[in-house]
Amino acid sequence: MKLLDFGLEEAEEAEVYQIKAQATPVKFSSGELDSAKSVETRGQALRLVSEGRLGYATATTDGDRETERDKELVQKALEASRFGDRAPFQFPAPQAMEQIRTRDRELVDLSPAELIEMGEELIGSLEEFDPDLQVDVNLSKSLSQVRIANSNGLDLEEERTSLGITLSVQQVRGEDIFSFYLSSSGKELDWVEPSALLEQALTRLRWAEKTTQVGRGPNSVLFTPQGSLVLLFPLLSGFNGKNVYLGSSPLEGRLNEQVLDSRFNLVDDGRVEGAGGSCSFDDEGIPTRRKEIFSAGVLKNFLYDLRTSALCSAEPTGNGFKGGMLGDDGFRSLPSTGPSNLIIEGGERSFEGLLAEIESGILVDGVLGLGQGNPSSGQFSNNVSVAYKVENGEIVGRIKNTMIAGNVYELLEDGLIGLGGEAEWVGGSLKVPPIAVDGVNVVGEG
Amino acid sequence: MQKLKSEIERVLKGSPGDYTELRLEEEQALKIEYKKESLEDLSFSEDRGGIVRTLIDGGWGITTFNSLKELESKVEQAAEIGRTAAGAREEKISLADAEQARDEVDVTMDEDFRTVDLQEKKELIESYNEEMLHFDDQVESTVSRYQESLRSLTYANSEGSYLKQEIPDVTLMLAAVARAGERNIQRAHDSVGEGGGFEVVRGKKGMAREVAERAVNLLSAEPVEGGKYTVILDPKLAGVFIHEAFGHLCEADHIYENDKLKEMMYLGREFGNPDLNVVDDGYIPGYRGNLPYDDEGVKRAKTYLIREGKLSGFLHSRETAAKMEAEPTGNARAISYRHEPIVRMTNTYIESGEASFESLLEGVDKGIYACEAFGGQTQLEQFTFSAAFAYMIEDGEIGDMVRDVVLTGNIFQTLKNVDRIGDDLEIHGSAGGCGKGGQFPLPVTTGAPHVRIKNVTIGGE
Repeated sequence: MKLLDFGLEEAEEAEVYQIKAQATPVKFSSGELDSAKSVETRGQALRLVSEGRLGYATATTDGDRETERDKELVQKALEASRFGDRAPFQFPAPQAMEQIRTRDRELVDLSPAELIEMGEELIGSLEEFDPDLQVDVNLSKSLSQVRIANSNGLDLEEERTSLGITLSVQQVRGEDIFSFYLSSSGKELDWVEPSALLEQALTRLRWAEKTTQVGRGPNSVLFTPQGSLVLLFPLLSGFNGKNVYLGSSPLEGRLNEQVLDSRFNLVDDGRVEGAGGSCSFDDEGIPTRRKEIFSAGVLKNFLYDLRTSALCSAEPTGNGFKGGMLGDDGFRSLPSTGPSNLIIEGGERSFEGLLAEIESGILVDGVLGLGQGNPSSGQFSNNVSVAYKVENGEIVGRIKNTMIAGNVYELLEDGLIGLGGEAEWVGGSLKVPPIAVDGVNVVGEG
Repeated sequence: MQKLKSEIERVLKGSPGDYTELRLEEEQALKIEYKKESLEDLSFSEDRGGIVRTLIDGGWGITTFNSLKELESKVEQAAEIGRTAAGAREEKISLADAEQARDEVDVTMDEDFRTVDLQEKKELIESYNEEMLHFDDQVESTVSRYQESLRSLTYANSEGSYLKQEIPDVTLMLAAVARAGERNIQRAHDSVGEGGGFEVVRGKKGMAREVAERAVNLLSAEPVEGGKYTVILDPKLAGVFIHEAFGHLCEADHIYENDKLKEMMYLGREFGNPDLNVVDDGYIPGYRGNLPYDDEGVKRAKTYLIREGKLSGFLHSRETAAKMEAEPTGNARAISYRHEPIVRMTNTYIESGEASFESLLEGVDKGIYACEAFGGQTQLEQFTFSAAFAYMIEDGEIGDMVRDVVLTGNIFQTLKNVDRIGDDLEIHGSAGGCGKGGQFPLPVTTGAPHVRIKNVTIGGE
């Protein structure tokens, strides 16, 4: 690779990350097609070590051989390295790795017209249920080619496809607005089922036919798989190795201790074929793998990228990812610790069984402002956006203007009622069962 | 340059679309980020690319690219995908008229960051980081992030508009985490952001000290007890509140195809008391993201969203304006060439009222003084946002610090409960930005004087 060679003319060590991607998003709002789009991304990132110091620079590329711009990039990275930190790690050498399936031919062949048709069907079925619904749908398919090469002889390439659908539904009755959001994504066409999204949407609309109110006080709360993100979000920052290094994780120093209820099992697994967060190797060339994070409530592992693992004297776990939230232009950011696919194992109970057990409580399917409260401490405090009142095991109506608050570590240690058996994929890279807990503080209007 | 201009004009003339626009962008950026005692990120990035958007047979086709060669083929590609889109639409999209714009806007900075040595930049940010780290033993970690960028935008459309605009953006974010024991972990942060030069981030040691001090103080603050309170919002939090909870509702792209919402959001509807005025002021030079023209080449305007308590305007793109028979307001914005412009806010604020801060405190038996925002989200009429820190108010006096203050409500009720508006408007640009439709972060500013709101629901244990 030319850029790597140029880099090594000036520096001791170097690593190049290149991406070439083509995405096709189509966007519907209020049931009508807004636009169809073609998005091309070509970019590269150069990380090098010169005189022991790290430097980093990125640039978009023209796609051709661009000797001049490559050399400019090397100069930028060198300039950065003059002030960079001492590199606490070495770029990884090649290691034996099985590549998983990350490219789906059927998905590659999907045309914009077919994406539009998928959107129209989804909207049509929802409008059949209620012609006054406002339905927004985004669909996007993409094909990206990633290459990572470094001065230790590593040179990896992978083609990855993805399909994502987001659905947002709004129902207005008088001054009351009910709206919710669902999404699905994966690396294969079969992985993403518009019909499942439709079924989820219809269930929510049926539950919401009546509205009601709750008062205040500690309560039993049943979180749907989607709602469980409220609990998962603070945990995420706890087992992220970077936060452990920074001293902002309450899980620091607790490896192999019983932290949560013994029914709680959580793994990070980047090798689930078809899932949204799957890939053979992370953005630093470390092979992904399956790791237990909580096993029977015992804390087993933290997640690490290369640099953080070195700072913590741990092994990298294949969780060094570039700005995933940013989409294909995430190549510009340095790799940092992040999850691949997170899976909370299902329990013994059915959703109905958990519901039946709740005498007085609420069912939470979504909140506003995920991450509000103090996630570092495990604290959440949210206004519910999609929630229902439960009385004697029955859903009696939708509630709004209701705050829920609690501490995830406490709830999952002492307050766990049970986990549902049917873990579902939420948004493509999280698989979560319904979770029922006792002791959430609820402040409603009633 | 002249060559590029004539090439662009030729390509646009040849477009099969009824309307075609081209946006080219080049950005040079630098980031310096300390985490704890180490310099985690010092990096340069260069971003070059473009977007073609064409309206053909009443449907939008869009293509974005990094390779600037063969612009003609990009236009053809956009047209092809636009035809597919048009075929799936019942109603044809049209655009409101806009004046042809031909202009060149150069960058101005008091202290051009391109002329400041990298070593000096690094040492300044490091000094802020040290200030926080060494403030107190309980400060466990810090983040000090400096970002500068210079964007050059070229915009042209098939109606003859041709604009060249340059804009700098400088932000500094300082955060501290303090810790006492296993689970008492508290964060504090502050940030500045302006469309300016290096002067924006000089002299911020005081800010660093305040951030560290606040994180430490939060360790001993009690969590707020959930319930309903009279709340005084400081200008920073009130600014975020008006942006999140009300500004987004006034973005016409939420409303223009939504008949039910139109019934709710009608001009003249009473939202608040007569002393309430809310503005989106499109162009205030020097503020983040401020340019004379939006990303459709429309001149940015000052739009009253609420005048004397009544809904008085919406924010428009050319498409929403056509549909709602209104004038475009210059609010079509895109975070970069990777995105088409959508309706966004700019500088959004509540105008000053007449009340002094002391008079806001008067008569508050048990309330909360909530300061600065940690974040916020809205879902149409429902909103939620969290204060970075807060104090109890008892018998008209500010008392102990409290933490974990998350405010929530329904905007239709809450704005009516704004019962006093301070006389101390402040407009603030932070290091973050606004997110919508997958486009984050868009530089905006928010502002307000102190405002007092009755009967606000606060979550908590």
